[in-house]
Amino acid sequence: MDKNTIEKIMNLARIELADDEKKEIPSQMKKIIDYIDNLNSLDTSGAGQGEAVFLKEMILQPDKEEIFPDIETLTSNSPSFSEGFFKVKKVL
Amino acid sequence: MKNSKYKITIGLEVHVHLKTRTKLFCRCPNLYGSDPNTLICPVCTGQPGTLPVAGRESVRQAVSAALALNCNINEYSIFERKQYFYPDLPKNYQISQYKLPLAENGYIKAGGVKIKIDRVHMEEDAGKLVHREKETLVDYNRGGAPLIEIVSAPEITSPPQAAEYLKKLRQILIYASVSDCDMEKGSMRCDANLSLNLKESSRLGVKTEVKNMNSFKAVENALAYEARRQESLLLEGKNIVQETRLWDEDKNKTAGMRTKEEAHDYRYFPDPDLPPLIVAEAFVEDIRESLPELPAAKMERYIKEMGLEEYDASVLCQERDGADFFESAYEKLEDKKEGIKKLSSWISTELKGKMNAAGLDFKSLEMGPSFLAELVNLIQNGKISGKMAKDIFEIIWTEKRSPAEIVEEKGLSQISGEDKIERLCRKAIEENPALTDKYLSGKEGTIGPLVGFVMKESRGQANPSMVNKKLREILNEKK
Amino acid sequence: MSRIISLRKAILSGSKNASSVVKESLEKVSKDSNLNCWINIYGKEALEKASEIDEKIKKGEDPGRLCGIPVAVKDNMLVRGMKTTNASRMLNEYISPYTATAVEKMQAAGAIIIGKTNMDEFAMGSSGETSAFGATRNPIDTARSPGGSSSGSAACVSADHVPAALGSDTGGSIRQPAAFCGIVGMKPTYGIVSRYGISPFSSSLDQVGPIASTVLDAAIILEIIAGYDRRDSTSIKKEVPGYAETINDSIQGVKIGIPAEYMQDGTDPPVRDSVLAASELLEKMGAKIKEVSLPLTKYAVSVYYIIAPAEASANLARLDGIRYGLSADSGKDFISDVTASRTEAFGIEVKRRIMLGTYVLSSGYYEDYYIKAQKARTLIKNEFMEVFKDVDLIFAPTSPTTAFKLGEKTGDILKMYLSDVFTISANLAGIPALNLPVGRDSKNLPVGAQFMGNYLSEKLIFRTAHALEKELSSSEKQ
Repeated sequence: MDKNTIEKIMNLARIELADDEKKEIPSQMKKIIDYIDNLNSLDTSGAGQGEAVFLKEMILQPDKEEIFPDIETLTSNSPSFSEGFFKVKKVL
Repeated sequence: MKNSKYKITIGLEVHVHLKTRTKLFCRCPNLYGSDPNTLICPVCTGQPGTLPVAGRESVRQAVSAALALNCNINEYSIFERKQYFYPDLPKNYQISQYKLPLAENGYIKAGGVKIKIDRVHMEEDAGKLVHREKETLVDYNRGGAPLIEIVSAPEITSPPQAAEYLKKLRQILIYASVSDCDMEKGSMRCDANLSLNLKESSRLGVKTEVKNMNSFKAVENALAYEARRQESLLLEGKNIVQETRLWDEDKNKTAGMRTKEEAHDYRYFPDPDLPPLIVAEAFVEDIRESLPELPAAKMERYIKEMGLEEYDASVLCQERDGADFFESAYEKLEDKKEGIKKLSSWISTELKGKMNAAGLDFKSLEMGPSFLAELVNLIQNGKISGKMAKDIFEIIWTEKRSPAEIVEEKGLSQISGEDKIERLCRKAIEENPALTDKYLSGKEGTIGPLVGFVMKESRGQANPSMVNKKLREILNEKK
Repeated sequence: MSRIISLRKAILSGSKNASSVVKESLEKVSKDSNLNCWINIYGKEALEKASEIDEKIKKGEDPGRLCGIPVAVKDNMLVRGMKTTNASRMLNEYISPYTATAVEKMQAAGAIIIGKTNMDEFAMGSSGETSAFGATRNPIDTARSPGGSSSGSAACVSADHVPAALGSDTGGSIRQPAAFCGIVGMKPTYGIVSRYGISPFSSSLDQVGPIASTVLDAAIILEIIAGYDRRDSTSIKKEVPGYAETINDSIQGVKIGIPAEYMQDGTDPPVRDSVLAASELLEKMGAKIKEVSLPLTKYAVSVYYIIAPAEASANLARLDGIRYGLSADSGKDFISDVTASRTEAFGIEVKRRIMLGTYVLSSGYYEDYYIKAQKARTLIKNEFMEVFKDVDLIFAPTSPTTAFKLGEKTGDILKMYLSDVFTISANLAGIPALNLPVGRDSKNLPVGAQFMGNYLSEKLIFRTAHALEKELSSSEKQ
């Protein structure tokens, strides 16, 4: 769990850590990862390819439109909604 | 790139918007052109607690498309989450297929070459971003719409071939009724990977990805530009940087994206909200049987069974609606064997000319195929001349009335009664002794003016070849 | 043995009315504000609903199976018009635009929602202490944790604010707080209760279930909320059997296994003693008790702490402050705004789990962690299936300890994670499990034990737990 790895994860997850968190979280993560590594002693050959354990088959739905009745509540939760759009700072 | 020491390798990733009533994972209408953020619900705006539920019609159309592209359908496929933060992606992941796609190993024939299709998979569309000076506006109407992504093998060898591939792909998918494949509206989008390598080498070079091409022409131009750009870099001994480049239509060049190119790590994993998609064999066979005849098969039938020339057949097969028009007119021909050539040329030249001028397509065309068949029938059995047919066609086009009706009403029927023609011919001979004498003395060219006389007398309604024949008969008797 | 049935009778007979029941409930809620069970209380709305129910009864209309019963809903479930904060600063202001299916079914049955209960932030925690609104206190000993993550739902039922509540259980979040608070909590078979409208923590593990003061009440609630929902692709398309109607049937001959791995040194002796004593009662009632073995239990925590954070890291990605949620201005660009919002809004436990999940899914690690864990999960499920060839139910401690003190485990994250060891397996295997209070330790803190059964064995679980509950209460009286 080196500094570069932590930086990469923070960037992927869009999370910054405060200074105290920066000290705490990496060492805790390392501790957890070390613990989790006990899985290495488990032989998983013959346990499939890693597919979902109990999901069998999706049920497909008919092609029938439904209009959501309360778009106003949906959009009113947005801090930036105006003129019919959600807004963010300019994306290049 | 002629005489270059490099060869071009292109792979295309094409996204096609399916024509379902609802979005892929919710029941919002799948429509284009509505007011922003009016076709949204908790699911397609990624509200907490919402779950994706796939629509049967999206799957059906995706399977149709994959079959039309000669793919194998995987009975078992998986939806995964492709994760990256972007404002057009309401969940900040896109539900797509990765390891186990819906279909694999297809091909299409473009310009006489078979181009392999690696895979066809299903995914949800992102929302639309509108960029203003300082802010970006997000509209989720399109977010969650059903897409298929068609990934070609890197086997395309030139920009024109890439355009040819796209045209063929578009033609097939429109035939299969799964999309209108309109690049301008964004219902068909194309990204391309292009690399160069030395002709004698089999190792592919470093590729760049080219995006933002909004027409077939743009694809061809962008790729041609990109190939030249890479070539000149290589010739200067420089390296190609693996990057995404945007095509700028106005400046006619590609430019690297200015954003910091982060190493993408999409962290795909199977979406735990979606069980495997099982496409049963019976479902696939059902779709296979209901698939319409596709352009390649249709062309072959037109050539082999109907006896059309390859060029004519390909023009007629260009669009499914046009081919349908042709076929229903063909059914009504009285003499199919003789009339087909004429019918084909009427559709490809006269009718298409009118349609282009009026900005119509076969869907919006009001004139029925039976009128054109009738018109050809009238020509074939000698009731009207080709010249008359053109006049009548004008009337059909503007008044949408049956040709027989027009002919009757205007008394335009071609005079082909032997008696009447003979009478007119004798009159011509009697009233033009000078011409007659010249003919009899061996100057057979004078037959022309005599035919002209008869035609004038009949107000153009006589069949000129019959007149010609009759005049000769009478004059030869006098020899 | 049903608070719900007796309250309903009183309301229908006219000796009480829904309005007075709701008022009473609201009074207890405000008296107990020190417990911090609730995040948002909707008293006015509840009273309005209650008078609607009273009106219905007056008119002789069917008021539903839960008519006038005040209930609590964990604050990760959406109820249209109410806030759903997930105990996070991120969603402090979020107004639900729709209602979760399970909640909708409760409302349709006439239940009255008093409010939304406190929990660990985004259900990530086992003590209630990660809530942005402060920890919930255990009504039995307010210095102690009520468990988590459905802390408020368990505490408010234990404190008798309401007879029943909805909780969600990803790795024990219904059963462990029920155990710590001395009440009943049920995590059903994965897929029988719709997850639509439940803010997800870990989609393949989350399951909604009832928290109630008796087994019969839990059975009644589950009967109401279970059933196929076309809005949830993981929902099972099967009819819900009546759990309550057969609840009094005999448990003669039911084979019950006690897993050796749950009764070893890691489990506090008083917990072991209570479970053993309860198993003797079960035997006395005609059940056949035998020891079984679940050796893969030692991998359960590892598997869980790969799969749950992995799914959570993706599930929580949508919280970016654009469509809803806390939005911070970085003063820079769009991407920095998203990072600033998430950084400011999430508590440390949520950050830790998102980072852990991001790590195990990142390129180069995915196969070694996520895929490996999925395979191990399959083996754990198979191991349960093997044991269920031999016995009908498994009976075991819900938690290795009774309620611990607030602050006791916050320093040692791994220790906190390991305290979930007995509840996690049922989520990994997707099987049903129910916590029943079976005794008290020397500090008079409740000990909980769980019945785990094969898929869709809820009926047998309720029947057996109900029999034991009856037996325990009569032996207590003696």
